[in-house]
Amino acid sequence: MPMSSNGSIALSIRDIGKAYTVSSRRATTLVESVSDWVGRVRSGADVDRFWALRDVSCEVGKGEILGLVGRNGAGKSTLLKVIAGVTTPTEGSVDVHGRVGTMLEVGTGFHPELTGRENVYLNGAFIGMRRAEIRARFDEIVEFSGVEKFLDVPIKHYSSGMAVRLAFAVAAHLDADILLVDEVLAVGDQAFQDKCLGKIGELRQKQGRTVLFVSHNLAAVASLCTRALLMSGGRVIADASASEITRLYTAGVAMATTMEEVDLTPLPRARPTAAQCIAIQVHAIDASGVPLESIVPGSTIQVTVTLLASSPVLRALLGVEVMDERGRPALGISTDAIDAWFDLDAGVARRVTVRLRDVQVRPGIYTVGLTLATVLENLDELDAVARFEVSPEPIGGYERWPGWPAAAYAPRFDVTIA
Amino acid sequence: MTVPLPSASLTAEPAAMPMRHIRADASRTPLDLLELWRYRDLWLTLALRDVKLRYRQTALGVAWVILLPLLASGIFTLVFGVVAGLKSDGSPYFLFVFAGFLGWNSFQNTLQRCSMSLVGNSTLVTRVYFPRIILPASSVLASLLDFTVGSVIFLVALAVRGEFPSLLSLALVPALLLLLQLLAMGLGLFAAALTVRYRDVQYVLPFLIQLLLYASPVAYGVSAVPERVRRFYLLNPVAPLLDALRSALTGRGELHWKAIGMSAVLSVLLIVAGTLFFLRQDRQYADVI
Repeated sequence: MPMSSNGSIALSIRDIGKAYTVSSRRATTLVESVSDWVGRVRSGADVDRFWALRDVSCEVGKGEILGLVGRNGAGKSTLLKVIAGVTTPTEGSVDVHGRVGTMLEVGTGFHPELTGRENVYLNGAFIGMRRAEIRARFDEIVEFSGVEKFLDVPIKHYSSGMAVRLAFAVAAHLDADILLVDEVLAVGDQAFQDKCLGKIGELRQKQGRTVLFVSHNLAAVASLCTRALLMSGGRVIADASASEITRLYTAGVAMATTMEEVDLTPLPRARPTAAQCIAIQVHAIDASGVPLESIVPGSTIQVTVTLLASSPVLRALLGVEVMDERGRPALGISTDAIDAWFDLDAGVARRVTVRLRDVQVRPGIYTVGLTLATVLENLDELDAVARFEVSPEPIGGYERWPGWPAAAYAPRFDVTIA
Repeated sequence: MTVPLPSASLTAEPAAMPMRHIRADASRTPLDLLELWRYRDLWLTLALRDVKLRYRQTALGVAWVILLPLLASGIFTLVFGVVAGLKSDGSPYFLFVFAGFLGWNSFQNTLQRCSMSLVGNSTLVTRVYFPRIILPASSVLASLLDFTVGSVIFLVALAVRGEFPSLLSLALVPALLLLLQLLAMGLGLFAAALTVRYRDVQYVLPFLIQLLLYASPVAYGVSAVPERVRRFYLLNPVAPLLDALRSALTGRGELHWKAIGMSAVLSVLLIVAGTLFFLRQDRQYADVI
């Protein structure tokens, strides 16, 4: 690796800020823009600004794997975009030492009508690879992706899993000094995810690459990253070892104890929408609906979400997702699955109560995420808004092995031993 | 299973590590020619993508490259040649219009593809970094290919009739085509940058192009334009280039050198202005698109 005056630094980020004009006021046609301008001149007011990033400073050394942890809208992806050069910062500066490669979101840069082979070249070109480089690594890429048989089939006939594998394979073989990985691993099966995580670790160890890694998979962050940043509301609130950061992140999620409501209004949102989740309450109930002190495997868990709309919303649905301590999805429901829809009037709070029956999960700490949406758009998406503990069942006379099996879901089962 | 050969070109990454400064206060993206050179393969890959995609999953495939101008020429021959009785330069009216369409289509396709190049690739613009100007620039190749294929067919048709333009005349074709493409891309860069913010452009542009078609020498020659308005007529920078391109292809008609010179100057000015305008907006594309 060539040495420069400060040869061990890959990135120096100084006081980065990124402001967006609030979208509801942004003009998108000429007439709007003119009337907007006239209005602004008349009132003398400045345009509303939303800071997606503010005062972010950090140095990243060569060979580090830096994890970025935080809720949706915390500014992780915006930071990656600024570093990649996709969007320009409103304040501050970044010095980038080396070639930056972005691991693309699934499908970005893929064209459905082109074959797998053609898309490998296209995708490689977008992340800055030369055709000769791709050709030299083509076999390696294809082997990693495991889609050899479908190379000459248009991508539109691929399953989403196959497309992801191909996209990751291209990016993983990119000859970049700094690799930006944004939540690409959210899809794909567990085996392939493990393979990808392994590849990222290998990139650093063997080739001294620097990796910036955004993921909701806390387990991956803890095991892979050498260091992590905890972000909230566009700011870096902690810069520490990956395990410390994942601990801080889960600890920061309010523990939903019996009967206590968690206020969701202070959480940062990426953009203003028609409706939001403003409070959540999580507890177990007994058969007659009376709240219980503790949650055990097999409990009925009642999740009550208070919603408030700023303008009327028709036919909304609510999704509830429960993640285990390692950030893996344990279970999830969406109200549309049982055809339960609700309308929201402006300014009138509504409560939606979801009763998750017979929740067979293993004892441990779980977090709850919410999605409020209509079929047309997502209105509010919140990760890990509440936390609850599933206590060991008070039956059985002995301690069970705590860490095994690793699966969160533990269905009722019976065994016949002949 | 294949074992990839170790490649020398891969390990020979630039000895001096590229260093990039991202600043909040720069007012526009500089035109980094070195960077464009590094991304030349992206240009080629994108241009090839456009070419490959155009007629994929069509029954007639590449034949459309020829069929469309033939059909357009057929209709123009019927409407303007037969019904309206417009005069050609002496060659059969159908071939005359066909030659006109060769140039016109290359202009129109480049302009239209350029104008949609950012909006049509918005997912890329918001997620990946690469010099944005590569998107509009990659639309030129398809037009050049169409023109080449069309010209060969045209020349074969001429040869069948026992005519052939002089080599000197044919030598002018690439230069005129280049000017026409510069003009289209210059306008296309303005349109692409504006479309990002004002989608109105994508509705207005096809209408303007339609108007321009009738204000340009496709269905008729410049010599058919009355003397006293010709001076104003030739202010349309597309007109002298299209007329000259047709003359060079057919080997007939006169060349209006003064008007061609003015168009050439304007083409160069437009490509420079378009590039500057495009780069000035460059920092906002990902946020506004």
